[in-house]
Amino acid sequence: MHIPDGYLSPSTCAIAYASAAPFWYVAMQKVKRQLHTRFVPLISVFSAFSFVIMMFNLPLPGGTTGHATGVGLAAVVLGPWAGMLAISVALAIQAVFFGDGGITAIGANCFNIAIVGSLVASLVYRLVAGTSAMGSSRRLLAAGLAGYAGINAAALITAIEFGLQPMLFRDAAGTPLYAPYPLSIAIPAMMIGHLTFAGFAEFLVSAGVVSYLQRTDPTLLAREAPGAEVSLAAASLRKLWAGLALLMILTPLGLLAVGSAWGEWAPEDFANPETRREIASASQGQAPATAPAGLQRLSTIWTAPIPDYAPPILKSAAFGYVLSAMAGTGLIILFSLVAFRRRNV
Amino acid sequence: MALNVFELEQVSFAYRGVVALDKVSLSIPAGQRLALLGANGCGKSTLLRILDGLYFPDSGIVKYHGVPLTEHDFEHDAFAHSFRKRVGLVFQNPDVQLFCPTVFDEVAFGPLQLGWPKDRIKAMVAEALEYFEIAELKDRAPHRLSGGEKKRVALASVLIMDPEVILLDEPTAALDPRSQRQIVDLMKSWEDLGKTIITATHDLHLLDEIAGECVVMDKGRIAGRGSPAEVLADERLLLGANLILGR
Amino acid sequence: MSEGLHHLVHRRKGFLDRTLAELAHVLDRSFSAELLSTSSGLLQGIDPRVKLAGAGILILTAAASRSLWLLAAVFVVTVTLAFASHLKVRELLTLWISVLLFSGVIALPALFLTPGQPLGWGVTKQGLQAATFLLARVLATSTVGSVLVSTTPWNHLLRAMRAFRLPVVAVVLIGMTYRYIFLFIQTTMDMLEGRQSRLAGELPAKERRAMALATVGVLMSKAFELSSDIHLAMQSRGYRGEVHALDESPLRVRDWAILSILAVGSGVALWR
Ligand SMILES: Nc1ncnc2c1ncn2[C@@H]1O[C@H](COP(=O)(O)OP(=O)(O)OP(=O)(O)O)[C@@H](O)[C@H]1O
Ligand SMILES: [Mg+2]
Repeated sequence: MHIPDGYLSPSTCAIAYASAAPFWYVAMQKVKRQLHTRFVPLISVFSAFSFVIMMFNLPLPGGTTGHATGVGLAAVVLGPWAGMLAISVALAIQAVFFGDGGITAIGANCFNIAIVGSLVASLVYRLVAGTSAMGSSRRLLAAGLAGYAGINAAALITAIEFGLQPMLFRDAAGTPLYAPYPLSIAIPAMMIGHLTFAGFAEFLVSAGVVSYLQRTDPTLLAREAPGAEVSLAAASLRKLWAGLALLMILTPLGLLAVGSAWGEWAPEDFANPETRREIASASQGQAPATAPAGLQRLSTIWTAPIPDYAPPILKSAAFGYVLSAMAGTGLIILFSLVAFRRRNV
Repeated sequence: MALNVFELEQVSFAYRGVVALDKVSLSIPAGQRLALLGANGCGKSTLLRILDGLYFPDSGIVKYHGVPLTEHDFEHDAFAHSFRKRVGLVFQNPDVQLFCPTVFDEVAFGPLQLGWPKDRIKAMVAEALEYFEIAELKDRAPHRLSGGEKKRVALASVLIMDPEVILLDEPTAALDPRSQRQIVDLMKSWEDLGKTIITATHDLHLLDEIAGECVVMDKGRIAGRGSPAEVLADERLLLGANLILGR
Repeated sequence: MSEGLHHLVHRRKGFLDRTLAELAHVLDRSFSAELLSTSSGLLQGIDPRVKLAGAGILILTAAASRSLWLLAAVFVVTVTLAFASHLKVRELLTLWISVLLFSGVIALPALFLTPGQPLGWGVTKQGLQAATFLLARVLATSTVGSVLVSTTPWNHLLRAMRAFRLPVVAVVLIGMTYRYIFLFIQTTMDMLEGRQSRLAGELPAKERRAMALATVGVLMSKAFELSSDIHLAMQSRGYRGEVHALDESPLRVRDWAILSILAVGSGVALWR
């Protein structure tokens, strides 16, 4: 799950850092405002805790053991913003001091696990738990699902990053220079393990510890469990739909259902009749005869309004990806700020 | 009549319903070496934290140099800095007291937070490390220190600010006799500096060395007060406070 | 009693032992790195900021390289520096084997799955090259990282990060987290070892799980308690929410020279 150095191209890593940075910034501001002087000790101690949790071997069914990242647990107890900071620090220490995960990939690992993982986990937790009582089994289930969804969203993003590498970075002879597998292989390979073992480990840790806290120290759950008497208002219903939409985009099942993952077709595939038939079945009989303009345009769309005399870097495809990544990041931050507006940390 | 550094009037404090201090009234004259005696859970640590301006009483008044101490006062940098400089607390648990990555950072933490000139801090830290005989440990991480070393680092990290009131929470607990002796000798050497030293302890055998006066606590209340000799002779008081075992 | 002992000896490696082994490994690793980084050697004598930036340049070069020769060069330079700094061969070998095993499993199918010029047995030329690239890159970068942390005391590395404009608060968070990782490892080991010795035989899976989760729960309660006490200890020494840190002395000319040569060298190598 922790991406090592060498699997992602430097430009992908740079984009990941650039995408993670605004989340870190917003999280830092929000958490500092909420925790005041408690910020540093709470985040540090919780990251140290997460670091140790990542080393736990959990007994899973079937006699195996597995690791969890604790991202669901962090989101459930601390909320998405403090959670993403705590997990990010733990990941950075793993990479720098213990060689677990790459140094160039810290941005990507933090983005995937700490940021996407926390946001998705927190969303699922709030949606499922609703206003159920602190000690209810519904809240327990919510915590488990939060961990499960969080880690799977992280795995999916990771798989997409892997899968994009051979599309974007090859040498003249077509040799993939980084992670070699296309989306059609990367996504199932990654998701099978996460939908089962890793997801289950994460489910266990979140639900198990929440159950422990329900019995021993429910006050620790209070900061992320708004009062039970508040009913689902219209506003939160809207949030529910927005959340479901995001989940559908992120859900690995949706992608796996499609025989061949869309988006993986390289432009030359469209010339091949065999592949076209396959694409046609996947997209309900409407295979374009030539490479869809969209695919080609995707890389040029950003360069269109840029004048010819602009430096070449502004016209490159990579720049387009950077801009789209930035735009995406902005949208997710906006969404998260709205969704987690009332009670954060 | 000596001026009082601290005066407590009817101070009560509870942790989420668990009463830790129950209407404690106490005055501590400047320059006194006071021992807080009491069994586990009688409220010694809580009292020290109240004196250090970390907790504030649920009811009652704490006066520092005759002026009531409130949470509100600490919102102002000037007051907070001057109080933190003048009153220092060494926590019972070294894992709480030592939160910095290395010994050097630990000792430099206080002066840095108080905004002292940075060029002076390095020299001051070096001096403090020398005084506490921990100079060779300066790059060590806290988890690589022995219990005695941890205690000396903890003392150095507080005493570098040269506080006028030193609050010590069980400074000799869980130390071997040699390390205990080191700490006691250090404490005795501060006697002539006119500092107010308030020590929470169970170590009755060290009492007359570290304190001129003792307060015995029992279940959040003051059970008795007197010189070490008086308190040690009062078997009924010590029995009642669970400081010795009945035969 | 003897029956309990019997069970203990014959118990197959359960989650307790594995977790304990992993925790012990982290302690070991940090301890041996601490020993080596404070001993004498070529890299040990270099300013940590130079080492950090140098390692960054080497890792970036390896990550950006489109030539196996350049990857080999980075690898050879790093290994030479490692030997000049008395790094143990065994340690490097352990690293390489674990890296090759992990990435090897991932790279292997690429031999067959990558479309391109067939070489026989279903292997394609592009597949072979892609797998080689992946392994070479992972090997080179992980060696650089490992040599950096083994020859630099971690607190110096932390201070070096501050020199490169990492915000003070990030450095403080990392430093404090690192410090408490060891406390939690110790606490966890004590807890697990206590349970290990108390357990006579193998528990059913469900109970083992419950035990692991209870351990995590206890740890978490401790974490919160600890963090509020640390907060008080910080406040007691004047902490008001902003962390202040000492400034670093400026880099020497020699240090700048080393870095410039490295940067220019890797720039030229990448350009070609
Ligand atoms: N954080 C806390 N939350 C709840 N209760 C607490 C907390 N800290 C202390 N207490 C309770 O308050 C009472 C007084 O505790 P305190 O730590 O002041 O005792 P003490 O005299 O220092 O004990 P010891 O000798 O064990 O250090 C005890 O009953 C303890 O259980
Ligand atoms: Mg105490």
